[in-house]
Amino acid sequence: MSSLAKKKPALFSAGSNIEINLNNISKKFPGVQALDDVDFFLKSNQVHALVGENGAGKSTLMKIIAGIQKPDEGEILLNGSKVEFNSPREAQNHGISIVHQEADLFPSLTVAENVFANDLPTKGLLNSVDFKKMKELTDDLLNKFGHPEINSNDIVSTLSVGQRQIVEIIKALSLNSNIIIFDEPTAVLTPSETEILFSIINDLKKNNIAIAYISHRLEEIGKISDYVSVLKDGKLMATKETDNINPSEMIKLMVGRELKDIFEDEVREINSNEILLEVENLKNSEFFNDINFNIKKGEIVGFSGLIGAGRTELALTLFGYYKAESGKVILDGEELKISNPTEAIESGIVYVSEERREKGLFTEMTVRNNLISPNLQLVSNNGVLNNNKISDLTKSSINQLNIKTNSDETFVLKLSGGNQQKIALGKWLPKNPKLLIIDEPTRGVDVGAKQEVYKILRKLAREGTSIMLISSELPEIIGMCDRTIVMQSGKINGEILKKDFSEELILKYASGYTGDMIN
Amino acid sequence: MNENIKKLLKIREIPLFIFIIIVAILGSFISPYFLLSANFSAVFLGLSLDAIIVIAMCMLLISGGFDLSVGANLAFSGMVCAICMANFGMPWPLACIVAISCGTMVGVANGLMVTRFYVNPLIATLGMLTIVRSLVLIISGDRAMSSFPKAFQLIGQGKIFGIPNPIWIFILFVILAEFVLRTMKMGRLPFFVGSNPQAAELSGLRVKRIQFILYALCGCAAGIAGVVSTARLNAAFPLAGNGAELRIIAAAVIGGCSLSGGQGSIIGAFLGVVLMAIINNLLILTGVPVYYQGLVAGLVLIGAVGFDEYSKRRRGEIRS
Repeated sequence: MSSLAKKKPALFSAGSNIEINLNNISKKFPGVQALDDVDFFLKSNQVHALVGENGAGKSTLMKIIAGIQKPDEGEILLNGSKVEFNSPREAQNHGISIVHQEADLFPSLTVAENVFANDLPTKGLLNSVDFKKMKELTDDLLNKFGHPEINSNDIVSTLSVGQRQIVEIIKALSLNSNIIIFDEPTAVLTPSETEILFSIINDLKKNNIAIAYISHRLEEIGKISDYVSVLKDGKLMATKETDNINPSEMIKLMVGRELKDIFEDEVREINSNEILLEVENLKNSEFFNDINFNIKKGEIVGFSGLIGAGRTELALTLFGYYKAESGKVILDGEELKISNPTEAIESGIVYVSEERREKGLFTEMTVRNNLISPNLQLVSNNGVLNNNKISDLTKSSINQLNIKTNSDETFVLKLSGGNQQKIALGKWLPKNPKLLIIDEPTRGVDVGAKQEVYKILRKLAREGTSIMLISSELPEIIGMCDRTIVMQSGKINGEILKKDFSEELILKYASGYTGDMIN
Repeated sequence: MNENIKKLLKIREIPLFIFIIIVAILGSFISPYFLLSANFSAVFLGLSLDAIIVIAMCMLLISGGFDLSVGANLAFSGMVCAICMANFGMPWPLACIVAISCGTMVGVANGLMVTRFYVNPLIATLGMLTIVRSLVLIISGDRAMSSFPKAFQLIGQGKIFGIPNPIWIFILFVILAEFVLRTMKMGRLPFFVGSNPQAAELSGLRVKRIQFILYALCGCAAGIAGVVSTARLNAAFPLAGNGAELRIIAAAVIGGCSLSGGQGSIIGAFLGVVLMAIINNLLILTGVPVYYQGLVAGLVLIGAVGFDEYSKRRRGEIRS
């Protein structure tokens, strides 16, 4: 189909008026009611923002609009007539496209091929791919978006995370869509890229395009949107005109309780000044340089920063997964020479990954097998597994962590995100770790489980385990940590003590932005 | 249906075992020779080499690995054993040790390629298959070798309590491997490694070492099978074990091993070998031309795996 190529460039071309209404949408996944009787709408010339905690159902709702998932109940009306999308392609044919949270690109192909993946422009009788035209159109879009430094012939895997996000946005624009869904587009963008995105969104709005906008950054929502809907645990809490609601009201609706309730502001004194971990001039030139910090016994130290700041890589280096080129790691007064995770665990360092399904869990194995995976030594006598010991360990972990599962023989992939996270964290507890490194502990976890994860972490800290808490959620850092270290592009930009915590200050260090904050 | 029966049927080995019994009962009606003990003994003697190798292959598959070189390795080890005795005049026990070591070294080479040089297992062991087949031709000059000491022949031809030695050998190995996999700490490791290698490494398991050992073990099993083969036939053939690799992998998969790792059992894999052997035996007894054997084997493989995947999805154990 070369008709699309003729219509190019689609960017900023005015379309006809459009309105999409979702009525009484419900969707269930194994173990979770992702959406429960939700109404939502999008109209030309308007940005409708959607906010809610992780796991509130925002992404699921957007995936339903984009044809990636089908609702169990409810109807979708496009300009008043009922439609049903069986695939993303059908939704695209109706002019709907989505800019994904985690870039859904083909890493080994060029930027241009990615942008035109679903409809390569062709020429001639043989319908051969018109590479020249594809390149021109892509370059044109990149220029308009203010990113001439990205070349349309670049291989996507060589781009930075932020640049990939831009390719994703351009891909959506190129589809000539009149409904565009942005799923947390700014999470990986720098402040200046964010500004450019906002001006693009404003231009799109003027050209009759309907926009859905998901973000965690509530101040952005005030700037960019016309309507706000708040989701909580799959239920629609409210839909309001943006002018009639302020961020703190949004938060209240999102969590159903005040923030301070979640991080019950108990006084947790760090009972020792003894330093557990001392990192000196640690360097791995691919990810980070010249890292110096320490963690006291029983202290919770936050690691803030934007995605790609090098926090996860630093954690994985301390854990022996990556090798440091130079520098010292001293634990309990002894210099560590760790070359793999096995040795790290032996010396008392454990790591809970942000990608729990990919790196933390054996999802196609049972709860029981997951819980014993790092503790095989503990549950065996002379190399022979002892079933009683296994049952004891599993039962006590399930009770202690309040894991909601039918039995210990349930497959982990059937559990909800929160319960999966409790297992990913809980499997380490029998080892009594000295240092727990936990990466985005509550990503994709519902509010209730979130609180429980926090409770477990606090209890560990009280018992003397030191915690290195990597998080991109500022309320989490502020509510949980005794101190936070802020990283940007592989270096430590600053250290903030609990008494000085503020979202603004953390963001300032994280972006390396020295002027006044956007607000 | 009774909950306990349901639970039993979910274990892959039980339906497979029942299916084998059904095939055997049908077989006894189809051919009067089928249930004769001589026939049975011949069937099990015939599958003994596959059974020895399938044990190691099953563990390797569980860990997410794969070895295409076992058939070639069987011929190679068998030939090494023959040459050591016939050309170098080694005493037979020493020849056996040398042969099994050679087989193990092939596995070690596979393991090194996969775990140290990150060669895809399919490519590494496919390359090894052609290399080792070529080595067999080089050392043998494409000639079969025969006539070995009586004591050596006993390994393959002797009987204890009326049961041929090769059958004792695989029974021993099946029991040993099943015990290790079910009850030993180290027996759990392949499951973790195969289920999610990244999570396994981050859980502190030595993933590479485990994979390496399993490749070596697979080579070792092929080496043992090679020695048994030479002893049983009192001859080493350059083309021994031709096509065994795919037959063995197919049997393991029928028995519940997953090619993507993380699943499988020794008993299941063994039953897979038994099923294929019994079906082949019936085809021969009923005079079906040899040409049909491959067709039936292929249908059984696809049917077994297809049925299993389909029923798992219907039960909702996997999200499709």
